[in-house]
Amino acid sequence: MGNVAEASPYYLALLTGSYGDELVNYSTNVTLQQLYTNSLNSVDAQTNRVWTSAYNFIYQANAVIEGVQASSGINEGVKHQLTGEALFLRAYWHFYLTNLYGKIPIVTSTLYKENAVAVRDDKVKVYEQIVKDLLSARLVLGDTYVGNDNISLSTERIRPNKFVVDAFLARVYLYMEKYEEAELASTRVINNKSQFDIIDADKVFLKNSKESIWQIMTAAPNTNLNTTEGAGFILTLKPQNSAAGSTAVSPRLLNSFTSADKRKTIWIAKFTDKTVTPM
Amino acid sequence: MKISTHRSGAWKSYVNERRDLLTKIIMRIQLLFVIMLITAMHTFGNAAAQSVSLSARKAPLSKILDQIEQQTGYYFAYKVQTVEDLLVTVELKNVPLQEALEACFKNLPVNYKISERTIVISRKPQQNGQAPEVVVVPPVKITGKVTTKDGSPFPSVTVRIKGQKQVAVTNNDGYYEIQGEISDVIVFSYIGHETVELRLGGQKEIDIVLLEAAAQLKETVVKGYYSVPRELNTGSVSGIKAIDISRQPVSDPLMALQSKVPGLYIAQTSGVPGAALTVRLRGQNSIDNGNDPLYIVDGVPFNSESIGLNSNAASGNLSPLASIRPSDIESIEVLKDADATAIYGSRGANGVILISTKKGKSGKIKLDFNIYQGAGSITRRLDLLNTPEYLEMRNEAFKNDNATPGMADYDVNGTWDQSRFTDWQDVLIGGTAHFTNAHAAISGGSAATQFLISGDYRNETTVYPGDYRNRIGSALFNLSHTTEDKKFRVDMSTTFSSNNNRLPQSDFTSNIFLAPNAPAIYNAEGTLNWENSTFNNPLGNSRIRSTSKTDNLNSNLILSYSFLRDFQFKTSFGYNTQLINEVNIVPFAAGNPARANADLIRTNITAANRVKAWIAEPQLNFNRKFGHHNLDALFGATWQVRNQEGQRQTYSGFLNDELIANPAAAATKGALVTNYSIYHYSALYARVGYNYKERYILNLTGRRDGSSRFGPENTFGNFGALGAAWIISKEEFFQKKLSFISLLKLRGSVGKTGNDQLPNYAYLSTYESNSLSYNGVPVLVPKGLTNPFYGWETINQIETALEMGLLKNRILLNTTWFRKRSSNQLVKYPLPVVAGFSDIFANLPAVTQNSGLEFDLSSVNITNNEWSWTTALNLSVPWSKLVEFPDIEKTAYKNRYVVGEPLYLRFVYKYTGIDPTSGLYTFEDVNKDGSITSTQDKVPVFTGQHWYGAINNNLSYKGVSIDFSIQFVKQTGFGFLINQSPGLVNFNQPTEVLDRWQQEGDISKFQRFTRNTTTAFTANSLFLESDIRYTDASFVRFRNLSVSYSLSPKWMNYFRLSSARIYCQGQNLFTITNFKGLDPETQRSGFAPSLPPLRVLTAGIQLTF
Repeated sequence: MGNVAEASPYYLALLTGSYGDELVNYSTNVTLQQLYTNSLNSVDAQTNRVWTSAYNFIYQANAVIEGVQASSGINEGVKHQLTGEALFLRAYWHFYLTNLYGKIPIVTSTLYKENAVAVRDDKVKVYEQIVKDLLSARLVLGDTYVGNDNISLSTERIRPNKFVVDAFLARVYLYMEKYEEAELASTRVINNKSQFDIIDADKVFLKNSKESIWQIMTAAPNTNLNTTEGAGFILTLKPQNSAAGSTAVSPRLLNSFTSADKRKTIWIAKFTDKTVTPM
Repeated sequence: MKISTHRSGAWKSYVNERRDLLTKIIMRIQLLFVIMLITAMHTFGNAAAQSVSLSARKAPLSKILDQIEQQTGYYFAYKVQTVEDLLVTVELKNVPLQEALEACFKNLPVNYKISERTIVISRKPQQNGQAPEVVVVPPVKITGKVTTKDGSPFPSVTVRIKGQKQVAVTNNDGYYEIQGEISDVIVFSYIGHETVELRLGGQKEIDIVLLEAAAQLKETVVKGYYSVPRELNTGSVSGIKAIDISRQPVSDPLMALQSKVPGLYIAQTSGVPGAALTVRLRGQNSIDNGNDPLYIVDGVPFNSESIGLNSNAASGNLSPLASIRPSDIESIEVLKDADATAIYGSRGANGVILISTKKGKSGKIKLDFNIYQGAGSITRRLDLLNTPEYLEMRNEAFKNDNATPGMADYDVNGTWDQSRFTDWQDVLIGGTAHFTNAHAAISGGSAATQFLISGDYRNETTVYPGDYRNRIGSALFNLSHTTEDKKFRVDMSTTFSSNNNRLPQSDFTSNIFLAPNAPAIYNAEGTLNWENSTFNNPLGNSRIRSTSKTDNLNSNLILSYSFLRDFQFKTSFGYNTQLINEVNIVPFAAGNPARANADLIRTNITAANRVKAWIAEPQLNFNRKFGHHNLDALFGATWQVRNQEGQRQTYSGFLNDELIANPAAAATKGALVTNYSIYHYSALYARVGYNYKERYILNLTGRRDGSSRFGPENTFGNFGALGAAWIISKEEFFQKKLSFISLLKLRGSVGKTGNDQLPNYAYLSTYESNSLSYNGVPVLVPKGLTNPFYGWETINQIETALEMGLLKNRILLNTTWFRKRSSNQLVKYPLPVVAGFSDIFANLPAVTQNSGLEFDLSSVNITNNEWSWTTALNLSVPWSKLVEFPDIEKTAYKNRYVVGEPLYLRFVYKYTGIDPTSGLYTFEDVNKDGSITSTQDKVPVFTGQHWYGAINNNLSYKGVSIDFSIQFVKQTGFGFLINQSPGLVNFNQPTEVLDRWQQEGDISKFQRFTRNTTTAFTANSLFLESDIRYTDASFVRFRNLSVSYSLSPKWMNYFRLSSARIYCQGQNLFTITNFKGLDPETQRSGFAPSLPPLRVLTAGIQLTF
């Protein structure tokens, strides 16, 4: 099965960034080059992997939802937290799948006999399902970030809560052009000043920053990385042939920022090495 | 009563009398031996003395008869009372015997009758009409010595008088003693040897030589739980014996089986020492699960799957069977059809291979030493581009794409010297491997107790650069005891072996495609050259060591007790442990020293895996004869448990290379990967064998199996078979009219066997750790979709065979047809990944079929006391077919199988040549939609064997023996094309690519060279997935040659040896093939290249004291 790196938010950003020319590709990897040069074909491994991994994660979410439901040993509070998280993730992956592939099958159970013959659903139906899952998640999740015991408060912003769901819901509504609902949902997050706030631009991406709503701890603790994104996008050497560190922000994206934009001045750095040329 | 015989024989006349008979019977050679020996033993008397001279006055008749006997070589049989009071007066000079007898008996109340060389004297009938006196010829003591062909004493030979009950057995020195009658026929017999029948003809001392049987009909066929004489066998069983194995300098016993058994295809996967072999008996019966036969070593099921967890040059695939030493094996039997395998039930579908180790024989202590040494090298190389050709290819690729070499194109951008040339095949796999094998055994025992102890040592190096070797030491211990009343018997055998295999971590063969102008391997100061970080030196690999230490213990105890005349109770206990300890050491020195993070690169991967199994099998046997009816029956049960426990851990962060061997010095410990499984198996089995007059034979076998690999719904399964045979040649009508056909047997079987070679616990919903974490806590993830309802993979088999023997079985021809059908293949049924996983375990509603014809011909071409020449030929023609597959179009199998077509298909693009304008490969757009796609435009091609077989010959003249084996295979396989677009990167190619498109209008084999990853690259990718990649991979291989010379008996006596032999052997001597890759057997050249099987030449000596 696909590993987390292949379907992680970093990987999604890398693939879609390359494909959408937000990034310049220096990798010699054939499939990454094909992606960059818009010469994808139907057997391409990269496009397959996202699809495969996303549906595997959806299966895991469904397994959690069904397993927790059937359990008699887990108390109600924990059941709510776990079910809410799983519903959120199920919505999350359906969202990216439909944005990348258009019509996709909606999968809401682990029954392989049904899922194996699932047909592609209209984008509208997929979005309806996403909203439905997120609203259900809102109902069962609490207001705070919890720790590993599912109850105690945690300073880590890892386990989704009601506001994480709201923030994502707002985004989904925007894609659905339901601007009123989007505003309502985002307002709920914005108004929660005790948990979320705008902070200095250079501190936004730090661990547990107040501006971040949902952070994911690196899933492979032995890699000595803080985040996969950092390792992949921040260049410390000239761009490499391998997937990590093989891209730079494209001039087109760079020029779309005004010169005073803090996102440009603070979040984007410059690395000069005349010896490399993009592939 | 008295009988007297004459010692001096008229042997010439004996020979004359028997000449017509001799020419007819197949045992003539043995007889000649006998005659010669007997002749040599006796001092010649007056052989021509058919005339008699007598002078007596009133002498007792008995004295006269004695004199006649002494003068003629005839002897008299009479009751002492008959001649008691009779006196004779006679005066004769040189008269014929007849006349002398007339003269002697003229006035006496006796009659005489000459029968052969016996003159029987009886009283004349009396007046009152009483019946004439019947003279019963009295018993006489016959003695002699039986020897083997090489002159050593032959103990335990059965000696009996034809038609009588008395039986004697030769002692340890080959001597026997039996009471017989003068006119009797004496019979010598021993399993696997020709039976010799001799008329006593007055002899009281007979020495004979017993030869091995040319035709092996009388030998016993072991069918696992029982054995039957080959003649009465209803199933399909073939195999090899110790002598066949001893002719081949192989390290794995399975290699000795290669090309010896029809229907059994064995291919080496690599020439790396210890690498596993692919063994397929009668095709691939399971689509997705194990296809290995069931191996049973001395009654203990033997794990044949590689248990290694680390990677190494053998692709991590080491053969556990290599721990059974070939020189310790007495026989290997291959059970093929349902009749032979159904008693193994769920484990018999892929055939059963029974390996029996050597046992001690009663007789004086025998010491046996055997040592050989040899060398091996690869036989074939790929014809790769030299430096000018290579540079031409690379430069042309850039020119074609209007590009200039980039930074990393060291081979053509001036970084590397463009005048260098290195033959990487020579450097990496061109070395010589050395072999040493030593074996010593001591055996012997009394009639009650026999033992054998042997030790074996083998050391084998590789053709790689670097210090690699596979070393194995083993011991075998065998003990048998039978009580004096022959009721209770104990058999015990134990083999232990310890194997230390030191290999590189990866096969050097994968580096033979390095640019031919790549830099020098060593710097001037002798260190590895990394050419300023531009060259990934392949010899870095030689610093990486992958060591696998395997211990194997296999032990078996059989207790049997006979009671109530017809019953025997037997219990077999077996125990097997395989333990592997592996360490892979990656030092920093194995790579470019300019790299950062030296301590992270230094790694130690330590793995251990253990398989432990025990088995208990009680069994009750019954055997009885009721007149012409013979009944055999057995009933038994099996309990088996096998558990496996392994772990693997990676250590890194070592301060220097020397510390890597010590995991405690590691700064970082990777996740400990552990696995554990337990397999339970139990069964009841039974067999009933019946024959009438040893002419009509029935064999019924069955088994009920339970295996923990199946869910509660399907834990148990029933299997069984019926075999039958009719020996037509034993019918009277046949014997009268067609006596030149010595054997004609029709046999057949039908039955059902199963396959349980699938993962443990697959029916359960399982989760696994993937070493990732959530919020810092390790997680478990689902391992796959779950189907608790899958059941056995069953194979229905049917077979018929005709066995024919001609000229007293000097020529034996077996023709066999079989068909194996499976209607519930257990597969990883592919699912759209939308279901979460790409497959699920399920029984496939399809009918698959393997069938075939097998021919097996053996012939004794010449056999006399100096010459012998035997030939064996086998040929197998396999077919396979997907018979039925409902709705295949709706499943993912539509891209793997076609109903009605063979099972061994590859779906490939249809190559249609090179477009002369663009210079690109073109392919047929099968569905005519304007684009070439993998799902729509692929067509099936067949890969696999069309037919295969071998010719084995044995020639011997006096002490010289020559054996050779030639294998032939007609097959379609994976060709030599390299998995890399020519010119794209610095990767060498076969010289064939020079025939390429260069300009418009060119007609060529290969398309334009390219360094881009666009259209030409895509076309090349399709090319590599097209029908052009599958080529004729047929070959004729001179697989084995053995030349040996046995010292003459005179010399052996002088050195007090019972046998001495020197020999030379060769394995894989040469191959005739049109195949262009490295090796047509492994077929791995362009894709995951592996070391081809080596040519091995050895010389050795064997001494027996």
